[in-house]
Amino acid sequence: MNTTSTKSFNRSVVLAVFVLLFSSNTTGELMSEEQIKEMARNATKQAEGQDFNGTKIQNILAFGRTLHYIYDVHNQWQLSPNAKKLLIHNLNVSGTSKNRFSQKIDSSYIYMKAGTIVGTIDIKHQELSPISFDLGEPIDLTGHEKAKGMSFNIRPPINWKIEEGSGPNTIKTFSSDSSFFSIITKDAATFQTREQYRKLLSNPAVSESFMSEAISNSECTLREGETVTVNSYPTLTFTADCSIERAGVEVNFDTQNWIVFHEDKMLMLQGLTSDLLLFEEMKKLFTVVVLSVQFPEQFN
Amino acid sequence: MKSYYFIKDGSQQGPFSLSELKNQDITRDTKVWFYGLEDWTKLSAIEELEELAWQPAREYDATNGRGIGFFLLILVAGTVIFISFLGEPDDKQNKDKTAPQTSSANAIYDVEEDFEMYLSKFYRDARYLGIYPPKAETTIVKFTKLDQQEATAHIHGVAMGMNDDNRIEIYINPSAWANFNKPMRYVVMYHELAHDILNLEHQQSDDQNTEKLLMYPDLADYRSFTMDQFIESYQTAFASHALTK
Repeated sequence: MNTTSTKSFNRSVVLAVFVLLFSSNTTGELMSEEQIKEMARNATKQAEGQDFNGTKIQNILAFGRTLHYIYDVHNQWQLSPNAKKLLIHNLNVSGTSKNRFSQKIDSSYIYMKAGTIVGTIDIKHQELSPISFDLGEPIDLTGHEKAKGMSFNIRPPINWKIEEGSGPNTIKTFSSDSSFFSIITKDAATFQTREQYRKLLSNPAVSESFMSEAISNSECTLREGETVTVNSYPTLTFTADCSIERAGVEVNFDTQNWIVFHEDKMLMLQGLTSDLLLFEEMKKLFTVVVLSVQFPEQFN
Repeated sequence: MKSYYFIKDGSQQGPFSLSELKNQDITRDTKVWFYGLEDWTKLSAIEELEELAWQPAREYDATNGRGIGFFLLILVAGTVIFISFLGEPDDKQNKDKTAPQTSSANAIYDVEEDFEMYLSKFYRDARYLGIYPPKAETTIVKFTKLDQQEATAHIHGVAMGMNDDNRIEIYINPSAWANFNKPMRYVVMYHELAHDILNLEHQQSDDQNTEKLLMYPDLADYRSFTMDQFIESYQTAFASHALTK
C-alpha cells in the first residue's frame, strides 16, 4: 500500500471507530437487534457527508448482530494486507473493542469502488476480547502471616495490580479497571480428609451454607454451584449476582468463587467484576488464575 | 520472633534470636533480658533458657545418674517412644541424654517451633468429636535431644504427663523433627498429646494397616503417612476414646 492509500485507509478506520463509539451501552444489558439497527441508522446520519480524503461512509446496516460498514473509496485505494490487524488495533486504542466484544456485535467492512466491492474485512466480536489470559510469575504465599500455615502459590493475571489484602483474612488482591480477584483464608471447624469434604459437599444444604457464608457481605443471588477439584482438593465453585452499597452508591457486580477445602483450612478465591457484560469472559480468566494455584504439599 | 539481649563487659549486646543467642559467648551467669522480663536476669534463672544454661556442662556420661534416670523414667512411667529403624542419622555430636528439666510454669513451648499451635488444634479437634478434656495446669512442650549414643533405634518424642490431668509434658527430638514432613509432625504431636491429654495407651492391632494407627508405638512406616491418613488416624483414636467414656 502506498502512502496515500495507507493514509486514506487509516482515515476510514478512524471513521469506523467514530461511528462505533455511538454503540456504547452503559446499562450493562445486551443490546437488542432492533437497538443495533437503530444505532446503525443514527451512525449513518452522523457520518453523512463526511469525507476522509476521498473515503466516505455510504451506509451502515445492521443484520442480526452484525454491523455492515459500506464505504466508497477513491480510485487509488487498495486494501492493505495488514488492514484487519490495523483496524483491530485502532478499535482497541479507541476503546471500542471492549464494547463490541461485550455487546457481541460482529462487524463487516465493505469497501466499494464504482459500485464494485474491492475489499472486505470481517471482524467477529470474539476477536476483540479486551482480556488477556496471560499470567505473571507465581507468587509464593507460603509463610504469609495471613496464610494460616497453608503452603501454596498462585499466578496473577499479567499487568494486574497486586496488593496486600486489607482485611484480616485477605492475603492478596489482584485488580484491573473493573475487576478484582482476592485470596482469602479461613479456618475450618476441624480437620477433614479430602474424601470427608467431598461427602460433606454432596449435601446440598451444606454446600449452600458454605456459599451463602462466602458472600454474606453483599446482597447476592446465588446462581449455579458445583464441586470441582483444585489440585487434589475438593472445591466448591459458584457464581453469584451481587450488589453492595458504599457511601450511598449501589454497585452491581458478578462474582465467581472457589472455596478450596484444605485440611483444616479454607482457601477462598473470589473473582468479581462490575463490568457485567464482560463477566462470562472474565470468569474464564478467573478460572485460569485458579488453575494456576499449586499446593506443593498436596501429595503429603 | 522473640529478641534477646545480654550484657557483656558492661555493655548491652543484641538483639539476637534464640538460635543466635546460642552461639554467643555467654555463661550461666550472663545477664539476659527480653520483652516480658522485668529486669536483667541471670541466664541460669530463666526457665525458658535453661537449655542454654545447661549446655556447656551437659556432656554425656554413661555413669551420669540423670541420664540413666531419664531413660528409666521413660520405661517405668510408660511414656511414649516412637522408634524408627529407618536409619535416622546418628547425631554423635549430640550425646546429651540428661533428663529434660521440668518447670512449674503454666505453659512452656520451645520458642523455635510453634508447639502451641498443635496443642490448640488438638483441643479443638477433641471438642469437635465431643471430648472435653480438662485443661492441664502445667504444659511443657519442648525440644530435647533424645538420640541414643549407639543408635539402632530412634526416639522421636516422649510424653511424661500421662495419667496426670494437670500436666502435659512432652519432649520432641529435634533431629527427628527436622526430618519429618508436615503430616508426620502432626502424627508425633497428636500421638504424644493423646497420651498426656486423653491418657490413651499404645494401640496394637492385627489389622494390616496397623502402622497407620495414631497410637501405634512403632513408626517404622511413618514416612508414608499423608495428611489424610493422619486425620483418619486421630479421628479413629479420638472416637475410640469417646466410646470408652
